[in-house]
Amino acid sequence: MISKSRTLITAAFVMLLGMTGFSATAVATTPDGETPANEGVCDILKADGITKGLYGLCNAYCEAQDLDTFDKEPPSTKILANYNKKKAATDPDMPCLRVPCPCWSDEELASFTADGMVATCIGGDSADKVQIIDNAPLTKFADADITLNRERCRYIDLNTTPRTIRSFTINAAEAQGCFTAIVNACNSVLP
Amino acid sequence: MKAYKTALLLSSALCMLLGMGTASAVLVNYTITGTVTAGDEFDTNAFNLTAGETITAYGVIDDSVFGTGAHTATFGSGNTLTIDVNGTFFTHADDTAASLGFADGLLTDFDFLVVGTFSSYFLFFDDQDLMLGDWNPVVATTPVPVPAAVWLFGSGLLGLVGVARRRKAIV
Repeated sequence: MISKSRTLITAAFVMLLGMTGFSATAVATTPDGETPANEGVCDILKADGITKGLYGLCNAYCEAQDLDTFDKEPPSTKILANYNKKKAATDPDMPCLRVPCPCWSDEELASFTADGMVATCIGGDSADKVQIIDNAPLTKFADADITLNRERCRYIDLNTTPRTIRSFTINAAEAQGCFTAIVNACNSVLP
Repeated sequence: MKAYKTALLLSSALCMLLGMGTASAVLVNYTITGTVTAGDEFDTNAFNLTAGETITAYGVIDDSVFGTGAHTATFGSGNTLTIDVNGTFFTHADDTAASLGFADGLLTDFDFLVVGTFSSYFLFFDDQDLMLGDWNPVVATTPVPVPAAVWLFGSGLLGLVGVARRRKAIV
């Protein structure tokens, strides 16, 4: 009798656990609601001849720093280190490797959208340039140009003392990093 | 009668020559003004510019860029660009990929880059160091004057017609 009730309790417990797990799976989501696999950034690592395991590491790394979401956890450097360790010379670099923009810090760019809105975003998407502007009370903007051989970034804030004026010609990877950061910042507040 | 026809033909040719531009795009003189937003109030910038001072960009440009919609002007084949930054002059030869973007007649992008010296994109320009300014989206234009040679040629033709008519009348 005791054994029977113990079995029943165990079964109920297992069911409860299963249901909890199921519900957790049902509500689990990535920051932007899409896994990297669905976003396609890691798909190139599915090709023949690519070292096995890189695709999984790419998924983990890219989702950790989710490219479609501005407010993100810091990317896992351990995953990236594993990727680079595993990567053969013929394999591509980590597809969503985030190169810091030399014109601004994460905090400076985040300040544009801290109030949940932004004055204007210009360019982006199919354009080679993107600019985010917040004009209150004085001019403040960040922009990036990924045009080949004209890669540039700027961060201007006339509200600080002394005023912050940074304008650099940068390399293509940095420009892409700057560009993506602004696009993400704009996407985080624009409808 | 023949002289009359000749006169008509020549004056039509002259009108066509002078009015050629009205049917298609023509070159116009343009001037864009930029105002310095932040300059050498705290530290001297490359061009010794102070907030409130202006710089200008000018040249000739195909007037079709001022039409409805988005247009981009590049330089080198008719269009020209000179930027006067407080006495330091840059031209389109300094940046062969320079361009001006327009939307419905207003300037939307002024793209110019001489690395480490003068840079402009979107509507802001800077010296890649301390100076910052913005371009006025409203561009001033004036027609490129018809060269005096064309007027001389035209009046010469009309004169010849007059002489021909007088001769005909005498004969």
